[in-house]
Amino acid sequence: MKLRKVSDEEKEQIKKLLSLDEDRLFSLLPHYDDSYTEVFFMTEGEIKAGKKVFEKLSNTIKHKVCNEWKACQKIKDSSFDDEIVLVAALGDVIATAIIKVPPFIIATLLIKIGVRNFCNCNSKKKH
Amino acid sequence: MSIAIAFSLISGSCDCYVAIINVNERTVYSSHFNIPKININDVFDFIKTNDIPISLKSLKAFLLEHAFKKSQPQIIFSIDIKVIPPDDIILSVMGLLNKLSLAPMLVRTYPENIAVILDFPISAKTKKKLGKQRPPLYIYRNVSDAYGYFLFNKKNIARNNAIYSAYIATNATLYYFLTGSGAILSASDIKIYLNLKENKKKLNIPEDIQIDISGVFSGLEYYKLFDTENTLYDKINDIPLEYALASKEYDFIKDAGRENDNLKFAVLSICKKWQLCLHSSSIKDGLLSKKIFETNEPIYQKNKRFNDTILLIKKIEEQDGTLKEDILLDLLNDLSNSGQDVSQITLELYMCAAYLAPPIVYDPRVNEAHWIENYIS
Repeated sequence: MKLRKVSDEEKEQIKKLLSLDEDRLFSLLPHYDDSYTEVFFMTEGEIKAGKKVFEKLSNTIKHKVCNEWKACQKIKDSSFDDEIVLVAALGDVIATAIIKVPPFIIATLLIKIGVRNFCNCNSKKKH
Repeated sequence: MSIAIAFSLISGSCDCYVAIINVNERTVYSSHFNIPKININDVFDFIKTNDIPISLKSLKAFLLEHAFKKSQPQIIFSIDIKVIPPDDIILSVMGLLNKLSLAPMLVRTYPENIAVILDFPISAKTKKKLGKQRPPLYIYRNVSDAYGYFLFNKKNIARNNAIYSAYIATNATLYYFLTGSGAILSASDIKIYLNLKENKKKLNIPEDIQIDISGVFSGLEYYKLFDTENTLYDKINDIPLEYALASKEYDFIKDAGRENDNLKFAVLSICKKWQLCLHSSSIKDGLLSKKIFETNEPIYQKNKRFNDTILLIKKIEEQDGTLKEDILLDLLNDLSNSGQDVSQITLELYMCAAYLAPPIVYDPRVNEAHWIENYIS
């Protein structure tokens, strides 16, 4: 599979995001959602709000990543064993559908949640 | 408090690292002692008699040489846990300090001395008994290690921990900030503060017009941000990510079961990067009542705006003799439940605290602690 080159700056940013756990990644999302921009949060509240933002975007992401991009098949390619490459590729797919939230944050979240899990790859296989 | 003595102790070990710091003279004396375990009953015995065990004599000599020429120092123990075995070396150290009148020995024992509980936070009852004696402070080792890491970005070793702890003990505001258990400023608090400041500039709103909303009440502390002439107003949207990364970097503090302590260092890290000042006021530890009643000139004569608050504090004092955190909070709750707006009085209390103790936790323009780097290994 031919993949675009990930720039050093992008690599650095993705590495930072990959070092965070799920909760910390969720806590970033409300900062890019208009309904939360002027809200004073406690950190726990940020995580909860972030989960809501993700839920709101979830159908769009599923459609783009799982259905159109066919993640279940694509991620079998060994190039995606490198998480940085996978985040970059997923980010590019997500960027076509979601504007405000930085796509690398969502892509990293998908990796933390598990792309197979998010796209329900196992049950698709059974059908 | 300009002089402090810190004892950094690892539970179960015989290693005792001591640091004596004098911020006025900018000196640090530090040393390591190997202290054999002595049962608490034997500690109580040596307090009563004139016999200090030989094993403690070198520590005693060190303290006499470096601490006794000065005024009464603040003692701080840097510890891992507060429930300890009855032969933990902290008890020997406490016994010695008690004997030397440097700090009272405040412990509670389980029946048959199976275990000992270090008495902190110190109860109001104990405070009352102590009178003018200054109780020791406590800090978890991870917290002072994290502060050292924040200051110098150096891997921490046991000897340094004593120096960081001693430094923290010389700054009441910093101590209450680092040991407070309430919620701290979040990434959104900081982001909104900077956005507001930037908008004020864009709209040419004069600086003295207060539309600040950055203050955060948190249990017994009040936190507030201030900008400096070097504050950065760009890359504000990077703050949440930087906050998350910094909180992760300080995750190691959570070992002592203090869930939110890493967030304090996330806030400090953001303040360092975006050149912001962090102020904090605390109404802990009878700070207000003690200072108000020890001073010859009542504080409300110095500043009339605190009058109502001082009267409230006096009322609490008359009821109970000391300003206890729970009584104060009960009173505020009662007022609130009866429909009164307590936000003003609460704010005034914090302002009183700020008035009495310099409220600066962090100022990027002044690195007050830079000189101790010479003493760090």
